[in-house]
Amino acid sequence: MKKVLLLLMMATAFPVSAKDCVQCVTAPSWLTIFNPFSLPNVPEPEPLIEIRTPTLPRDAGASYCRRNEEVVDTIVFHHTQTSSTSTVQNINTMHLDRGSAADPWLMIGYHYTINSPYTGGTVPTPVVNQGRPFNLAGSHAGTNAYRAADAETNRLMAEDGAIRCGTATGPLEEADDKFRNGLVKANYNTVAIAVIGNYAKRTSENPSGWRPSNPRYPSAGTIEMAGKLACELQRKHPRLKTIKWHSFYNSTDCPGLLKDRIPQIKAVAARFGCTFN
Amino acid sequence: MHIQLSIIAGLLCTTLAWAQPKQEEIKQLFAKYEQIIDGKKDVKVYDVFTKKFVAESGGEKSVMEGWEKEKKVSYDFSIKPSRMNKDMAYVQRIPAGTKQKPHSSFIVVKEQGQWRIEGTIGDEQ
Repeated sequence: MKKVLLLLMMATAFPVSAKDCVQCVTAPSWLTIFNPFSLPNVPEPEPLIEIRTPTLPRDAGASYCRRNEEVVDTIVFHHTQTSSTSTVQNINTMHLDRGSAADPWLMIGYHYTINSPYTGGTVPTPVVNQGRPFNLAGSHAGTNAYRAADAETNRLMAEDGAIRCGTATGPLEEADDKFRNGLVKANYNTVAIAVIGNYAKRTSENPSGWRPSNPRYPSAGTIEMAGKLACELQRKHPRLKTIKWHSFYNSTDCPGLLKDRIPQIKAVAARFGCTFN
Repeated sequence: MHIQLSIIAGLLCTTLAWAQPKQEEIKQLFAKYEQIIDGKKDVKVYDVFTKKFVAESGGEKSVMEGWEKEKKVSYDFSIKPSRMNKDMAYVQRIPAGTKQKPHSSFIVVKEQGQWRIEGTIGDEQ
């Protein structure tokens, strides 16, 4: 009897699944059923959107920063300012290509891209792709962009191990540029979503932008995908509560008229139970 | 062995140097670009932009028309050859006498032996 009680206590304190340990004796199923301390098995909600995960080449010589995913509290929207037919692979190649031997770029600077046709078009096929992994800091807001963050983000960022930087060949060391004048480095606590295409006005710096007589807004399909992606990310990372856009951090035209559609993106996310500031 | 490697490396460098756009070529290209922006009809669209760019922009007329007047500035050009495609380079226009860093680059590619503008890419880090 004592043995059974001891077994029961151990199973409650150290639940081990067969997957974790092949040599362990797993607790019998009746123990799981009658275990008063076990939580009910809540099924995960169906994903709102398919996120493709293509294999993207990286520059092994480039430096990068691994982060505690908990520090990420903000989504930043961009447009790529490229042709709408560009792909995540094209953007990755170009970002790799923009680096030099002395200052190589790791890979695409955005975490997610949304391919979507311009309003009235059918090309390209709408799809969400993973770019840079979520647990790596992005390269998108601007190296010198620092903004205020809430107390919890500040606390998490201050922890040792929150942001560790280095190269693939050397050790990772704690970043020494997490804070500046009490503000947090934006590339560290944000996740970047880039809508592929060009939603800014045509200027001499942006020849493929829209003409004044014909403003180019993201299509309803793009807004829907962006809202679902934002909500999906919040489900996985509940600290993601804010949506911003590139020009919030830097003097830039990015993301053009996509910025005007942020309220609609938040409304789509709200339909699926997600709330964003 | 070392000599052979040096020769190969030298040849590679020379090939790359040949493929890179020269400052003068880029200056000429962007001078023509300015003329298009100014509505000068004697410049051919396909002398400035690639066929892909023109097609995706809705055709020649669409590229020629609808430019808004901007304050004229002289530029210095920062040219970065592509590391993967010898017929491609990234060009940043920097207002002369400043260190103002643009938030995007022009993509120029070699088409029929001449450098042309293919588009842009945002490259904020």
